[in-house]
Amino acid sequence: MSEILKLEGVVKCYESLRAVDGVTLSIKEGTVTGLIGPNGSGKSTLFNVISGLDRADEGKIWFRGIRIDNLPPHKIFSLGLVKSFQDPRLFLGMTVLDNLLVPPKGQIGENPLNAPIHSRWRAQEISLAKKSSDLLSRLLLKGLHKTLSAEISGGQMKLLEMGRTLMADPKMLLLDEPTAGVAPKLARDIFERLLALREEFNLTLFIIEHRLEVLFDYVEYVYVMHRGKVLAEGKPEEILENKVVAEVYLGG
Amino acid sequence: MPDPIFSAAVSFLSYFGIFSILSLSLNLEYGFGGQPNFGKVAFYATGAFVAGVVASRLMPLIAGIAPLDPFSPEGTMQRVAITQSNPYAALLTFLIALLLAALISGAFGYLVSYPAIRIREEWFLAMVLLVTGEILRVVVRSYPPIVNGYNGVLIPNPFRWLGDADQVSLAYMVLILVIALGVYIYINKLVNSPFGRLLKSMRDDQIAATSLGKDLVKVRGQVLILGSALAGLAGVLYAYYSGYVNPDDFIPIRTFDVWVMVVLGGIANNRGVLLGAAIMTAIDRGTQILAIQLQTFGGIAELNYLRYIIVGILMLAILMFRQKGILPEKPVKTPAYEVVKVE
Repeated sequence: MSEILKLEGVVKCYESLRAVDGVTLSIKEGTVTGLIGPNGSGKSTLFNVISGLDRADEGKIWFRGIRIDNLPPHKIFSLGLVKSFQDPRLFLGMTVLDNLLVPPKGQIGENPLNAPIHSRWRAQEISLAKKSSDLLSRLLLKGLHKTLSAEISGGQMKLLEMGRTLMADPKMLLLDEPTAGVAPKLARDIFERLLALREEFNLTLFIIEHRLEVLFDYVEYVYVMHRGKVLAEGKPEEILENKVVAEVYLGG
Repeated sequence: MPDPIFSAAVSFLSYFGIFSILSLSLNLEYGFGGQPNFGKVAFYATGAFVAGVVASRLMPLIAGIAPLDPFSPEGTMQRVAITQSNPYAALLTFLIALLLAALISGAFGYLVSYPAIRIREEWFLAMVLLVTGEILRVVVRSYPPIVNGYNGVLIPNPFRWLGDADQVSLAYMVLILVIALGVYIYINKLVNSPFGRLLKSMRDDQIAATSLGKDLVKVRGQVLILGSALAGLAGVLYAYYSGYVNPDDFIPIRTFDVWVMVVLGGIANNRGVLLGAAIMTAIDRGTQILAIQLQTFGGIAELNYLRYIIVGILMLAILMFRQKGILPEKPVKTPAYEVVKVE
């Protein structure tokens, strides 16, 4: 398996705080990797840096062999690296279906010169709608397509956000706490669905998650962060046995 | 003999058409795109100034006459004479003014917003545009070579060759309404598309839209070019309607009148915005006509202020009871909804 994402000595500072402090890691294509660590250990910041929302102060990042640490977020996105947010950041004034139809790349009708001439993008729109329709039923959102995304439940918002990232034909997903704030039963559901989708779309997943009992059942490899640094890495069972990790993270 | 009801109706519909274009363009920028344009008046004014320059300088050349000093009484008479006798020169000048105004206002909109749209916080843009409007007015009123400074410049109606004053204003009103209808159809088609979705995603959550691959700096630029170009068209229509280009017409309150139309009628609902424009036009014209009527009977009260009172009360009522406006927003209408059906 080849390497899809590689970080080398990545640093991100906020004034005097080194939120991410020299992170080096590498992720193989097609794997499911977890990223854990106490609150404030720099996990979300690291995701923001990888996806380009924040600029790294030092270090290098490669995605599929291409340097991305100097690219704007929309370029990184177009390479197939897509991030979801900890709190779903849906387009709340838009319907569920419109939320799904925003991400696809290369939409002809997004150009304002093409937009008023509907015949130019009609065929593409219909094929994207078919894809959305398929995803809606798989994410248990069928029948909600005309509902405003502000009006669906918290769990449904999570699923919609996941669907939105999938509409972009990603190669790799950065998922920031995909199960935060949902019932334990639904948390497992979400992971089951994620893994099923991974098979089908040939995805690589990198997941921040606080529910270790759920996460460890699904991931192949884990990185542990503490105070901006990678404290430990390994297979889930190795991490569980790691004394240092237990001390800082699991509370002894 | 002028019929007061006829002239009131023509005046109402002409203003309605002009205000419709302005409010539809602000709705495109703010209602759909979330870009708070507090300087709408700058691009409206640009259109009017372009009309002033084109009518006073270019029209004699188009008519094949040696131009006189455009700001002298003789120059004004020359323009009137041309529009009275030469429909071709009058209409062609008007058409050129429209095209040039759209181009120049659009380019100006892009230019002044260029630095501000690179900042994530959209209120910088609001402030930059607000200031731009005032700077433009002050510069043009103090620099006579453009439209004769604060004295302004007279531009005759492009239909003056029709002769009868009622026919001239009627023909011009029809032209305004046809252009406004065209703008309405165009904007409706423009926003019920993936571009409309892109605008709304930018409005609802810039960070999410960015992380989903949208180049928002580009989109902001596009929407400001389009919105400003359309405001420029409205400016030309207004200049020819009033027959006179005066920089002091373009004070900041003009911008906020347009905001009231959008907020009142329905943010991101084009039909709602037309309704808002109609209500504001009715208040504007109604109080104006009432004030003039009362004045002739030896004015008992200053009715111009009534307008501000009514608008203030309306805004309060809308913000308290119907925040989404009279007609609320609808989903982006594309063929996708025909494909994805319930069940």
